[in-house]
Amino acid sequence: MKEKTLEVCGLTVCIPTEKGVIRPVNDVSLEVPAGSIVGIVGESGCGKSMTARAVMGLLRSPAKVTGGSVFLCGREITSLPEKERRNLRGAEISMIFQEPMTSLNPVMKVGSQVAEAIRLHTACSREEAKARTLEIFREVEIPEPESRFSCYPHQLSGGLRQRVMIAMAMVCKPKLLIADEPTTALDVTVEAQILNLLERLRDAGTSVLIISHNLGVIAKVCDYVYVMYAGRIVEQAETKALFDRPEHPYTRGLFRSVTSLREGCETLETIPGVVPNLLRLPAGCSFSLRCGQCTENCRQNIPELLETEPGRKVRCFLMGKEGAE
Amino acid sequence: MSEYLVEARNLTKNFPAAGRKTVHAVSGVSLQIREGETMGLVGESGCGKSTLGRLLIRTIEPTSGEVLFRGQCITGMKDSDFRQYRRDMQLVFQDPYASLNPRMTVRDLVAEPIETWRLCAGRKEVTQRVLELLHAVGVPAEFLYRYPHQFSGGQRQRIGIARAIAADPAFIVCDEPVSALDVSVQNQILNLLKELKTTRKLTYLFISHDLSVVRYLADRVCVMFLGKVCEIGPTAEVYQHPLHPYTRFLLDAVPVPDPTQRGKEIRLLKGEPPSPADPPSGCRFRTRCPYATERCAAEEPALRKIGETEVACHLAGLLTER
Repeated sequence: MKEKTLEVCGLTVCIPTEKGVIRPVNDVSLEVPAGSIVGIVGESGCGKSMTARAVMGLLRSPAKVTGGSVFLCGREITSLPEKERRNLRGAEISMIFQEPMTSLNPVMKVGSQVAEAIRLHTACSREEAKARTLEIFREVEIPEPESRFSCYPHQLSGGLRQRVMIAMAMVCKPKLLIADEPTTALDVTVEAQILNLLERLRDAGTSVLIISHNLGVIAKVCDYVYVMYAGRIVEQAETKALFDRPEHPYTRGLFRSVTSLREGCETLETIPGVVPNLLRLPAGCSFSLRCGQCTENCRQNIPELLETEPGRKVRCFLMGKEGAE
Repeated sequence: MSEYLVEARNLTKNFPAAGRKTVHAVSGVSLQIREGETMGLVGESGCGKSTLGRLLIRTIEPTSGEVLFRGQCITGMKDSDFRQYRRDMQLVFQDPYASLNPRMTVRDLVAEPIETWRLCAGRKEVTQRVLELLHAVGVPAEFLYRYPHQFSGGQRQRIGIARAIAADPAFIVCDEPVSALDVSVQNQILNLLKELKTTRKLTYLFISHDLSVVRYLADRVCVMFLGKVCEIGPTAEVYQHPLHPYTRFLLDAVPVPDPTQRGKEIRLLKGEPPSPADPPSGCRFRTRCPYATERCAAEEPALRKIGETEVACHLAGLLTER
């Protein structure tokens, strides 16, 4: 059995609103084995970023973890006092975000920002921190690291900024890197470079949890994939198995919606309707409103996430029954 | 009558930048769009594709060069003369959140162009016309008096499209119309745009950084790099047999949703894109091009025809297939 870098069990996040309590993350369990890249895929509002923030302990009030536990290398971390969690962040577990411009300090030189992270977590002098920063800049392939050290974020391109973010996240060699839509704001040629970099990090021993809406990104780098819809995991499987044969009606719809680069077609497949409002979720399966195969049972009861074959779980009443494709 | 609906002749647009520098956003671009066709415009951020789109419908004035609409030069035309053309050219924006006035109801938003052009007399008739338009873009009639914030991104984009087609234009520039939307909703909007094109006899310039989206919609595609056209040709031809090295890199870089393709090592572009404030001499792609020769630095390649495609590369046709 492989060691698990991250294990999340029954994680639930609640946000009280004027119109009632919503659960953007609802009973989510997932794991990231050591030395692997795991993906969470889903549309906006499905709870994928919220899951990541909950794991980091970075939820903004009034969002709160109300159930479940998070284990980092076997150690439960949600019950730790805030001070200890802060020490974990950056040292053991790091996160990079979609838009590097909003997560870097605009009035601080990028080199100093990375050096600050080093000095926060290790006892070392300014000179050592600077040397280490230049070294990590080289590792993430930032050209001319010496001159980039004293640049401000706005002087760098989007791709370079994301590299600085990755450098900052990686500089203390964390066990887990959470990448929330790391390439969404970038051009395709830069995206390919960044994905390549994430793969090299994995090979160097860091486990990665990637959050993305882009199935191309998931297919390219992930070993295992979780599909989220309206706060719940609806399907999980190894990447090859999932892309070979998606089973949940939502996953199937998502895969059919992907436009092909190689061949044209007359009309594009769509999933009818829109993602449901979390305040007005249907009583039964949350996908029932958009599902072509929905039955009375689906409208009334919430299906369990059940194993359909080794390594794959699906949350749908129709699995294994007649009528399912 | 010209065979082209819209024609750009040697268009250039420079913007002043900090430190007395000049950003060469669009440099000497010539482009012809035929009536009824969809021209895809692809390229990475900062390559000038949005600027070009805006130049074509004259929301900004070019530094030099001219734009012809139905054979008539509209560059430098008096505003009073230009007014009759304005109705024929519309724009659909990327961000449906930012492009609709949050304090106007859907009815008033869609009625605005109808009233501006005095297409209907009387309030009732205007509302009737608004309802027809909402029906055409798939927004239910009961939403007539709602405000933009009460809609999802996809619905808002439908309202933006209703506004664009309200005055029966001939030419619409769609500037990244689906990049802010989720995949499942993206396709609904793309299908709608394709349907409207046929039913309303529209001509599109479809700007996108997403190559698969362009593949679906465009009849011809134009690839830009740093303010210059690299390659223009029939979409299927360009995607299957890209001639310009940059087009190849661009197509290769798109992550394919098929994990079995993963082992296939793709070549990555090295280095950083050059700055549009200080473009390299000769071919603008040469500093990143693995095939670049001395000639590429000395002499700027002009567009030349190979088959049905036009390409600006000294080496095009000499390079081996991928």
